[in-house]
Amino acid sequence: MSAGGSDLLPVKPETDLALDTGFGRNAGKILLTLGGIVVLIGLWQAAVLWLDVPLYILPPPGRVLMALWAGLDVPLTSKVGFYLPLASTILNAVIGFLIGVVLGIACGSLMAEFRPIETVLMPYAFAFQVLPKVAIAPLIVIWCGFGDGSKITMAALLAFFPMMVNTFTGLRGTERERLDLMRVLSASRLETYRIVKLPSAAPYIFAGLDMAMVYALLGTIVAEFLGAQQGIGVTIIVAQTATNVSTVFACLILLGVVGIVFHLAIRVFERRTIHWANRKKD
Amino acid sequence: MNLNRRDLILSGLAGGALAALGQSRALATDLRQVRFGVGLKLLNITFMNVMIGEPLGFTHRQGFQLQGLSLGSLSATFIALDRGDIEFGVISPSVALPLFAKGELPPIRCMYEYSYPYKWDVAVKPDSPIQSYQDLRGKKIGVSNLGATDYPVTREVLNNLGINPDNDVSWVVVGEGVTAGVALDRGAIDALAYFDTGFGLIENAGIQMRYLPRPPKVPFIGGFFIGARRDFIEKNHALCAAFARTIAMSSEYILANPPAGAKAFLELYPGQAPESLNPTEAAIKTANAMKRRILLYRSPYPGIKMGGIQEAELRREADFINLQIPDLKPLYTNALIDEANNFDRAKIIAMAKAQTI
Amino acid sequence: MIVAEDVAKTYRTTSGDAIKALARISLAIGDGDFVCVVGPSGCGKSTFLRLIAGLDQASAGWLTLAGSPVRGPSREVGVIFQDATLLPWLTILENALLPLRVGWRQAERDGKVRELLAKTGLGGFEDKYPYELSGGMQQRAAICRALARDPKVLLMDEPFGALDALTRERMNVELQDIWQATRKTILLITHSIAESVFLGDRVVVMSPRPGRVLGDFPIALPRPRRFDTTPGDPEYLRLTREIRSLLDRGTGETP
Repeated sequence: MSAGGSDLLPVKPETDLALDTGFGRNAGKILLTLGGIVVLIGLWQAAVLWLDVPLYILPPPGRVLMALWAGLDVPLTSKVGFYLPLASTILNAVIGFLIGVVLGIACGSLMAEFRPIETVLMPYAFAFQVLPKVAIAPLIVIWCGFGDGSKITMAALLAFFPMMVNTFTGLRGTERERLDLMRVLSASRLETYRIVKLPSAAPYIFAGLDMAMVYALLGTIVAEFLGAQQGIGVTIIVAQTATNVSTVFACLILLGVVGIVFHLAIRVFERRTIHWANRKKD
Repeated sequence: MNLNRRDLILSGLAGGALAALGQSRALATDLRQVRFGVGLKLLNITFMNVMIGEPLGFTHRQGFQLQGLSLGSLSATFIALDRGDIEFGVISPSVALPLFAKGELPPIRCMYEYSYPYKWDVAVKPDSPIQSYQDLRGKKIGVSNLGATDYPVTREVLNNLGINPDNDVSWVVVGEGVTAGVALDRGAIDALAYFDTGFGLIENAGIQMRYLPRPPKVPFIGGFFIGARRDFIEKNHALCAAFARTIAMSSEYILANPPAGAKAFLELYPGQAPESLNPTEAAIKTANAMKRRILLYRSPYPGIKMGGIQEAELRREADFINLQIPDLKPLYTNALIDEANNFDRAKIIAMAKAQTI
Repeated sequence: MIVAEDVAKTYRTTSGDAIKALARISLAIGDGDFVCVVGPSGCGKSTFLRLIAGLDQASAGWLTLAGSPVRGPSREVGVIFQDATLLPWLTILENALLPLRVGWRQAERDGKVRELLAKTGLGGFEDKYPYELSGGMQQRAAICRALARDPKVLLMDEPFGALDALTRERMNVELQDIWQATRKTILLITHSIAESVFLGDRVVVMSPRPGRVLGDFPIALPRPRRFDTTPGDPEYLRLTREIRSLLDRGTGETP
């Protein structure tokens, strides 16, 4: 039985109980990942050497790793290190993420529950999503100030839409038999929402969380690119201005790692919370 | 739904820890806090003479502490000044004059010109057959983007030389910074129309260029000004004069020993140092990128002291963009210039020369 | 207990067509009766059940439950769906207690529900989740849930259709035991002629769409019925044969 999902959303692909792998399986995965990284670095180094790529376009991996180390091998509060910018970016992204998620779930829920709200709001939601946020970023900076406010707003704006759409679709796709069950029991609208609809939509909501976190990070970085006082985006701009390409790449690597860590965190949170989803039935 | 409360509490704690870590340290001093806003993504090296007063201690001795803010867009500066988010900001005439002509500019006033005309040039590869602007006929000229002032200025220069900018040359958008240099280096364009510090960046990246001799008649515009709200200048005359003074002092310091100025700037913004160079090399290289710009600190007008504003220049700026502005006086003031130049010049020069890099 | 007079139901599809699911149904089910409804797919038997459950409204006719007209879901009615429709995020116990936690809350019946779970062989599985249980056990839990409010009527829509034959037989026997112990009024919809004759006091045969009552067979087989004895009873064979031929005539098919 499948929920009536739209083809907008990623359907959860995991079907095996991958939690209970033995040590052997995990070690294999880690070795494979490390092997992949080694191969990638090797190809990178080879490309730089054979194609005689100038330093200011693509530095060799050695330099990038040095730049990475230079930013990490400093006291936590050092002005030249990556820690302070990372903390600023992550903090703002997380706050924006939380705001966007709460608003997205609330909005998606209201739109799923009350068709008039859906009719009125849905076109605006899509229209807004299509707008290039880079274009409205200066406006946001003017409204929300030159500090963290505009970063958080940007992150929240970008995180909002996937959460809203996923929540909406997940709630609308609640199985009819489950809704019948609650009607037969004369459950109130709120009880039905709380006990059946919201948990039913949980897999979609978690898929939305994954996307929303990525978008929140992106939004924060975009806001930092356009004028902020601190953050990894600012560090990238500073490095670009000084043509410190190795530092730019080091920052990108850091961002990638941050993205992966957040993704894994959400997956873990998901497995603990909706342990019942996608289990094979006997 | 079985929301795990422990997960929520842990994330709350983590959030609190991050907040404590990421909080910008409050500047705990008794000095007056002065905020200077720049309508760019970054307070780059072009603001060297405005900012190094802070690490050199000039500002503290004058009784204030200077904090630089990047505001993202040029128009944001005006709004920030108007709202009082910043005390001083960069005024670029090409952005301010159109607003002023429409009556939409907030009541702000230029009080010190920290960078004078003329900063544009056309560069070619060292082995290029192009020897002068006249040889640009039929060639491809690169500009960073069509919205940059480089483009209309270069067109005007060509026009003055009898070269039709629409028919006799073709224009290619090549992006900013090193990207533009690469376009020239790789032959995507025959010549690059850009400005002094931009060229400096490209040179620092190792790309060789030769500059065409400047024609005699160029639109003498492109100066940059420090601005503040009119009422702020009136009510805080001493502070504004002090700020202007620190800029003049810093300008002399840099002119006396450019790498020393660069070194001070890099102390303030270590992230802008070229990577994998020791501090001395970084200072020298950074100073090199600015070698043309620092010559524009001094007023090119006879009788006008450093920082002084000539109304004719503002008139030229307005004329260049075809604006009819009857009265430019509300836009500027020279009331602070004498006090700004009132310091021991020799002492500053000696201080700069004595500085080891 | 349940009285239907000339009940009809017509649906409107999104394209505007009218689908007549039920043509006039007249049926009376007494208190404590076990009535089975057999019919081909799409004959409207599920529709009829939904009407009694109060999930849909009849387009025409009278429908009363315990003397009052059916206007919506009633607390005197427990419903069991083909899919056990247990909520996967609740434990078996939480699922069974669900009717006591929503709508009309009745925490005082908790103990009775626990007893029910134990009696149906689910003792010890209260804290397990539905995905940990077999289909048959899930359906048992669904039955306990349907009985939580101690309703007078149980409506069952092909409750054992998804189970394998052996489990299905076992569930039939268990259902019969429950009914004999509680004497609820049961209306059970099924595709299986054998099941309907085994379980019911009456078997109502419905025609293909639009559904009409083709026949109403009293089942006078002795109780308790067992799978090792009853299917050999000549009366059982006669009834199943008659019902089958009625169904074939109704659909115009001969096997």
